[in-house]
Amino acid sequence: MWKINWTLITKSRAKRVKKKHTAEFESCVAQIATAQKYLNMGLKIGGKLKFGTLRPESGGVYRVGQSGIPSPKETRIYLYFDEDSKIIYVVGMGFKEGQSKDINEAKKLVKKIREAK
Amino acid sequence: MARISHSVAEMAADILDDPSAKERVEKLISNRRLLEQLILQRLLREKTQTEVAKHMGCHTSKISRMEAGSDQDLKLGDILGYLSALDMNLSMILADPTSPIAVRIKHAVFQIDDLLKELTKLASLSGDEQITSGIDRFYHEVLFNFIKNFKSTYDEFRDRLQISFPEEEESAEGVDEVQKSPPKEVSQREPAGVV
Repeated sequence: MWKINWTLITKSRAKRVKKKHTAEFESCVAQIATAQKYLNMGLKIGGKLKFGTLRPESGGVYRVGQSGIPSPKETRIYLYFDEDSKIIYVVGMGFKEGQSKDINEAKKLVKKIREAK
Repeated sequence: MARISHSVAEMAADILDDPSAKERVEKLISNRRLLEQLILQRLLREKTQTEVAKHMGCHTSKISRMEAGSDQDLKLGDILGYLSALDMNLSMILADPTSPIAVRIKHAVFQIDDLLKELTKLASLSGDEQITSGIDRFYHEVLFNFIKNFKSTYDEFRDRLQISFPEEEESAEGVDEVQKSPPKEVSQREPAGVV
């Protein structure tokens, strides 16, 4: 069964989201739950796991965004699916305006996770 | 400290530092059951959002939004279009949750019977030996699995209520009566509510 690991999310990063944009965050999380369900059913990542707003970025990073929120703050959660350990790592979260910086940070974290194996 | 769990709802509660977030996220997840089935069918058929959008005559972003939303936001036309893009049909069961369970089971049995009749029709229309023998194998499998599951459920029922078969207690009163009364064959058109 796939687990989710959010150890890498710092308190300061979470603070920005929880202050004002909890609905957006929760919408993203519901889609992560769908991904987890499919992985538990045996679906492989390999570029196929693309639904809703979940899609691959580069360097093994996936991102998911909010949906169904009126006048939303464009929110992103960045993920890494480690097929060996069956762990979904949350490697970043933030907003659209900071996404290129967030993606780069997420990619660095993915590299560290891979190197630590 | 490692923060790791099987539950994304727990993660949300922890990150937001709000225990009530767990319940909210669980509700959001349970409001995506139909969507998850639709998406799963698309993924299993290896169809992309773009292919579905093209078939439906809309932009990919609409499919993306639809898949990311909730069941309540789905429109019937969109469900039909999505399924059509996957070469699938929609089959609906209008269930009355207030009906007695026995009535609902009876309706389900009639539905199975209808589907088996359809299968038989298909076998006679195709004239293909391979299809016909496949259907024949299927009939045996269905019968075997049904009897196996029916027996196991019925055994459980008897264990729970400590019921014994009349033939196990031949001296029991009323055995003759039971043996004289074979199971009643029920009309398919029997009105709902009559057991």
